[in-house]
Formats: sequence, C-alpha cells, structure tokens
Amino acid sequence: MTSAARFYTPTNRLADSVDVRYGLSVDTAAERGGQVVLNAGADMRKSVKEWVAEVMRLSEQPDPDKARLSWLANGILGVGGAAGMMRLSRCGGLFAHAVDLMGDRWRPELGALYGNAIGRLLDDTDPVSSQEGMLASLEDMNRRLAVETPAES
Amino acid sequence: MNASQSPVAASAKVDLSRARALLFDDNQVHLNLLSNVLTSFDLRRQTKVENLRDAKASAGGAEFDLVLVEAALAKGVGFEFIRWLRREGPEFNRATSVLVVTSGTQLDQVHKARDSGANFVLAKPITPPVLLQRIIWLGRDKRLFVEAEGYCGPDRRFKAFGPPVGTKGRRHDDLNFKIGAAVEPNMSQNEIDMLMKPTRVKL
Repeated sequence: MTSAARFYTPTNRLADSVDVRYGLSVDTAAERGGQVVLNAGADMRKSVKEWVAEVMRLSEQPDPDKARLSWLANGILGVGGAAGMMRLSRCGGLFAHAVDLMGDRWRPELGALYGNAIGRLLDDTDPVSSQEGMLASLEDMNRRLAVETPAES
Repeated sequence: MNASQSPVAASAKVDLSRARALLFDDNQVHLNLLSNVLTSFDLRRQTKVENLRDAKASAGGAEFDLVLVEAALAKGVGFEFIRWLRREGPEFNRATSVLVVTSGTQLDQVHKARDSGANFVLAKPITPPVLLQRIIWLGRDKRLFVEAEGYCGPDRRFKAFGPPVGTKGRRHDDLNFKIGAAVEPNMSQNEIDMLMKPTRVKL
C-alpha cells in the first residue's frame, strides 16, 4: 500500500543571490567573515570561560540541571570552536553527547571527569599530546556509555 | 543532505544584500556570532529569535530566504519549528531553505534534521567559509519538494535511480518499469555504422 505524496518544484528564493555577475566574491566574503570572528574572539573567550566555570560547578553536584549542562557544553562547542579553542570545543561536544546519552540519569564520576577535563583544556598548560590523549579517552568513554545506554532515536 | 553538489569556486560571486534570514538559537553569543558573520556576507536583513513562539511569529510575518536553526534547542523545539514551518507555516515560507546547525557528528541529530524537513546540516564549530559554501549550495539546490503524510520537505533522495523494483513510481518523471514492444524493425549494423561514420559532404 502506498500513501499519497505530492512532488513539486519550489521557488528557491536564494537562487537569485548566488552565482551572480556582480557581487561579493566567495573569497572576499569568507575573508570578511574570518575577520568578524577574529574581532569577536576576546568576547567569545570570556563567555566560554564563564561557561566552563559553571560546568565545573554544576558537575560537582549530585543531581545537576542537565538541560543547563547540555546548553553550556553546546555553547563551549560552538563558541569555543569559533574562538579557536579547538580542543576545548571538542571536549564540549563530547560532554554534550555524554549528557545526552545519560538521559535522565546522572553519573557523578563522569561529571567530575568532564569538569576536570574542561577546566584543564581551558588552562591549556598540559602538553598537546596529553590533551589529545585525554580527549581520546573521553571519546572511548562515550562509546562505552552509548553501548550501556542506547540513545532513543 | 550530503555534499554531492558542485564545488564552489573562489571567484564565484554572491549578492545576499536583498536576502532575508531568520536565525533561531537560544545561545545569544552564538546567535550574535552567526548574525555578524552573515552581515559580513552582506546579508543584513535578519531576524534573531531565541524561542519557538517568536520563531513562529516571525515566520508568519515576513518572507524569509534562509532559516538557520540550532539543533540542540531544549526539548527539540528547533526540529518542531522546522516541521511546523513545512506543514503549517505560511505558504510563502513553507519551502524556504533551512540550514540546521548541529553539535557535531551525532547521527541521530542529522537524521532528526533531515526528517523534520531541513535542507542541510552544518556541524559546529561554524567557520565563515563553510557557512558561505552551504548558503551557496542552498541557492543552487534544485531538489523537488515532497508533501506526504509522514514527511514534508526537500526530496531526500539526492540521486534518482527510479522507483524500487516491483513498485510504481510516485515522481511525475518516473518511467514505467515495463518496456513497450518495438514498433519498427531493428536497425541493421550498416545503419548503426552510418550514424557514427564521418561522411564527407559537399557544401
């Protein structure tokens, strides 16, 4: 049995804005965008530092606000990455995923581990190889967590 | 929702000065970052919203050429907004290009974005060249739109291989699986050769 489906060609209003004869070249636009990100770097780093401090504080609690933790981790991922804090950003992404995988439950030992990792990556005093090793082990931990608690799709 | 589009040449040009974008993100720092990057692309007509109610109200009040939605909004309201836009949103915005910003490579988020009717997914952290490239891809997107019971949005099949064997196609350009009987005798080898063979002609 098949259900009815309608196929049609929509009007793509963005079509008139790309591949135009006169306009901003892709190179120039990307360069201008890069400059904007660079200019915002200091403010973004300030926000990320505040979020990291909050993550560390919340992670120590026995039953923290997981929605808030998820929001903070996601912010660290997006804004930290844009500000060039790549390893910290990756850690934020892993933490967001871990919070997601835990669902309604909370594992304090896992929270403490992430809180510690995020704090150390913000300090950025460990050698790069050690930071990479830490991220790899967190990735492994998330994989194990995914097997323990398969996420609902 | 893959990268099967033609590459974007560095010399390609865009004029986004007349385009209008709706940005939906509950993180003001990220929202401002996106907004400033779009402004640097000359896309200055923007509406920034941080919750579902404002997103719906904005979509109902103006025509948008591009919608950027954060995937990780609490309680999945980003996906809810896209589904609403595709099914119940005002007619003038139902097929608007939607770009979902996700927190990395989590497959379930990509699936949710695709199934809610988004055109493309962009993984964080966002860089200006990648954002611009996706906008250009969206501008070049020629996919059909599908309205079905379980899905509304751009055709999720990037390549058309025809309908599955044994089923009747639902696309208007799907061909009938049965091949009709020949209506003329087969061409001889000589006739086929003559189609390929260069022949001197007198002008």
